[in-house]
Amino acid sequence: MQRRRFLGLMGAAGVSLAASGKAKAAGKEFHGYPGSNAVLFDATRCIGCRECEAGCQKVNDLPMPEKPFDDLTVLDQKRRTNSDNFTIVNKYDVGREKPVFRKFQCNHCLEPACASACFVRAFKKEPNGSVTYDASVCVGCRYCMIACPFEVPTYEYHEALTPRIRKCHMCYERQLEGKLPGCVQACPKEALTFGDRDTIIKIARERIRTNPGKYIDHIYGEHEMGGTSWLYVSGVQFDQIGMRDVGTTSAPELTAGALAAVPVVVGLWPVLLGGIWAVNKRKEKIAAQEREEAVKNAVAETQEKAQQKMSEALTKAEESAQRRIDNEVKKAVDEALKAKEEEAKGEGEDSKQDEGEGA
Amino acid sequence: MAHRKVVAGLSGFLVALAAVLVLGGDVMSKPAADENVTARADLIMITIAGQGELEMPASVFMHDKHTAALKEQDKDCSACHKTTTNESGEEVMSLKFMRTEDGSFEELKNIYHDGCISCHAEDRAAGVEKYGPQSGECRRCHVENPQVTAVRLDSGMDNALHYRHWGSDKIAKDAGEETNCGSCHHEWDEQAEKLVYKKFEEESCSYCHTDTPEEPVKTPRQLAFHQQCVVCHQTMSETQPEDVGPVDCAGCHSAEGQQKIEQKNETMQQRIGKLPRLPRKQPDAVLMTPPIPEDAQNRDMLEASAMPVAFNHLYHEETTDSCSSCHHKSVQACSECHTVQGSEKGDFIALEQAMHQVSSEYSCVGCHQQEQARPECAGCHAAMPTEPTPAADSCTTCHQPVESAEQAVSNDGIYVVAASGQTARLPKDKDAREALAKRMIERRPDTHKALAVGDIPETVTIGVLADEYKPSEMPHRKIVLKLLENMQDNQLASVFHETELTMCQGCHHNSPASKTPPRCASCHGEPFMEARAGRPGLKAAYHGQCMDCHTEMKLEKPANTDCVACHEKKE
Repeated sequence: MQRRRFLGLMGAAGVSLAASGKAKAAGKEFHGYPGSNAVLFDATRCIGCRECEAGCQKVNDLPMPEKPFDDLTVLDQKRRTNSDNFTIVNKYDVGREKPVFRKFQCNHCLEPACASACFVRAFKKEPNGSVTYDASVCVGCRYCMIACPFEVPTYEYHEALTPRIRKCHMCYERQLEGKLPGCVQACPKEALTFGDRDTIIKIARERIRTNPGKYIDHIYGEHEMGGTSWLYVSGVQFDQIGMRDVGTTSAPELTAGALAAVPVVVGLWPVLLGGIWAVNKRKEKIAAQEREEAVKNAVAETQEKAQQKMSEALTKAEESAQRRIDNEVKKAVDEALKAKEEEAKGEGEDSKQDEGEGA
Repeated sequence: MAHRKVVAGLSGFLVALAAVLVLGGDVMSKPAADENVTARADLIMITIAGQGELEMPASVFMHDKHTAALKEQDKDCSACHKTTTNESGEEVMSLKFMRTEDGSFEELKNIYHDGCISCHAEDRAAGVEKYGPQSGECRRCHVENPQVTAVRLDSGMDNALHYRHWGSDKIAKDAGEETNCGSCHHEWDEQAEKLVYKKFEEESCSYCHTDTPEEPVKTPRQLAFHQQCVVCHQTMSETQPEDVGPVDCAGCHSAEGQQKIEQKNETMQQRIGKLPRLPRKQPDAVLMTPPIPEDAQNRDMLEASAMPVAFNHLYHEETTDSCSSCHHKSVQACSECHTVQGSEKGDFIALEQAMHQVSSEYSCVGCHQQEQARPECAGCHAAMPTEPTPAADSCTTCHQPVESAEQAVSNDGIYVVAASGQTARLPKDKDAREALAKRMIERRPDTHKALAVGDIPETVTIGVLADEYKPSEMPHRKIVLKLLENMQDNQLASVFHETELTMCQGCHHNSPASKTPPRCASCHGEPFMEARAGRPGLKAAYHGQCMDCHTEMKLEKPANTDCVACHEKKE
């Protein structure tokens, strides 16, 4: 078995397993916990007042930003969240009379990419819709930051010893107390609507239906990344307000096939190697057997030939001996006959006498 | 020596830096596609691609540029345009270049090459300062990716511009008439096989001259207008150069040109006041009858049919841009094409749809809804859900019972239910119907019903939710009076805001009209209550009502984000 061929085989085994794993994973769709909550952001209602940012800062005891929340000049730059704020509002000029505002925070995927990438299970999708984070198990690998399609998790780079991942958690504790998330509570326009996800989707559809021309006929988050608990409706195309098309497949679904194949592949090593070893072993055994057989055959053949030669020689010897005996006998007979004849010749002269005698 | 090296090195570095900055800037900068610095209304791409295989890209030609250049040399249109005989048998300028008829591919190519280049060469020989591309400079006309793009705005004729024509003394009057409509309007007489003018049967040009005209019409829309407008303006400019319509492309098809036309329209309007009415014998009012079975006589059968509508034709003539705002295919009754069931002639749009379809700009309801988008209306109307069908309680505004039986009496028409509750027969005679419709229109209010000022609360203090801010003092009466002022002369509002309380329902919605409507808190409470899914909470209801209305009415102050403008911050 060549090393290269062996590796090729191994690879093929892995791929076929992964493929079968994918086919299996596709059948496992998760549509969120029944009765879980969601928030609907309506871009046609948002006035960009930053009250949600202030509300979030208050309920989460986050540090005060440099510029106060009622300073709206900060909207002139595109911002993103960091470890000191969980949500921000951005202003987008879409070529209309008025700019469009869009709030940014964790979207609380039904099947979170961060949780699927985390190997210590620091992230958890809670039954009430929140995606929470447990700092006590986090090792700070920041895989979640790479995994998140929305670039949500942020990191406390300035913390030397106990850095944490920071992100919106949909006010998980407040929800348990029956309160609204801080931002939703603070919004003066109900640009944020909180409620049961199914109801929220119905409300969004109703708004789109009863206001023809006001909305894009799409609820962002209903299916994006397999569905999120933070939904958006807007009067302009979503890519104009910084929301890219992330597809409708959830992150775990994209990786489950390959990941499910890992234990199988690992488990297959001994089987495969053992198999190869056994095959080799058997091959050797068969080879030895064949050799023995061949030797045996060769020996038998030579012996047989020798035997044959000997018997041939013996018969030949016998024959010559016989011939010699015959010759000798002949000779003897001849001599005897000759002697007889000569006797007869001599007696012929006195045969008459001898006839009587002979009789 | 070392000095020189330093200088050389430095200058080299600077050159490199500049190159990087310029090129980088080129790469970094957004494409200036929407700036349209090179957009021209007079750019014509000359191509004869329809006739054969092209060896070169289409040629770029700027019409107005040439017109101006020829003018400097005291040449006129005849330098490029021959005369031809039009359909009416008059000698006019052909709109094609140096020819009256299109020939073969080769002929066309030669006409353009000889025509353009020979003229450019003559200019060069004569020592003209600016002369066009010479023979052999093919790529100066045949540009692969031209820097300039043709941007032409659609041009048209609204009522004001129309009057500047039909009210003009410069256009010849029709034979034995006081009017000059026949100078432009014509139709094809099949018997005589020629174009004739029939008075009182004028139609819009684009009814027959479509982009792909059907026999017997030969001239497509664009050519028809240019032959009619440009050729006439051109001919007139020879005899009286002042105050004649545009002859260049930009005059009609550029934003500046259209602005000029608009200005002239306005000065004309200021001079004469109200536009005179088109003399086409159109009715002042039309009695439109919904489909009522002719044999229906008893009340049960009649009540199953809609009431007739008295349509104020005169008023709509004044408030629309042109006849074709409603008469989009031809100037005749809607029901000619839009039958009750719908017919092929009317694109299978039934009469009911033609009148009520919200999404159409030609239907009554659709056009009225577009009117509601005006800032002074949108404050209330934008917040109302747009249903695909008009609101049920608005039917009777248009569909009214005719007056009492004795006035509408006639012995031949169909029966309807009259205002008195009796049945009455509608007249069949056109004039009698028009008179009846006029009487019905006169019953309509022509001003908006207003509440007594004393009945309007002066201020409303909103303090139920006061938490971080002090209660808000809303200048209720000021707002109401301003809204009333906005709709003072609006006929739509006068007729459709049926009672003096209708307007109150713009804000005090989902509750019966009353001088003392229920408080907002009667329906709006805690937000996101499951039992009231989708209904805003009280805070959002207040903010939504005020802010959205201000936004829709395009009021700059107070800004939505200026909290203290409405309620002071608590200390």
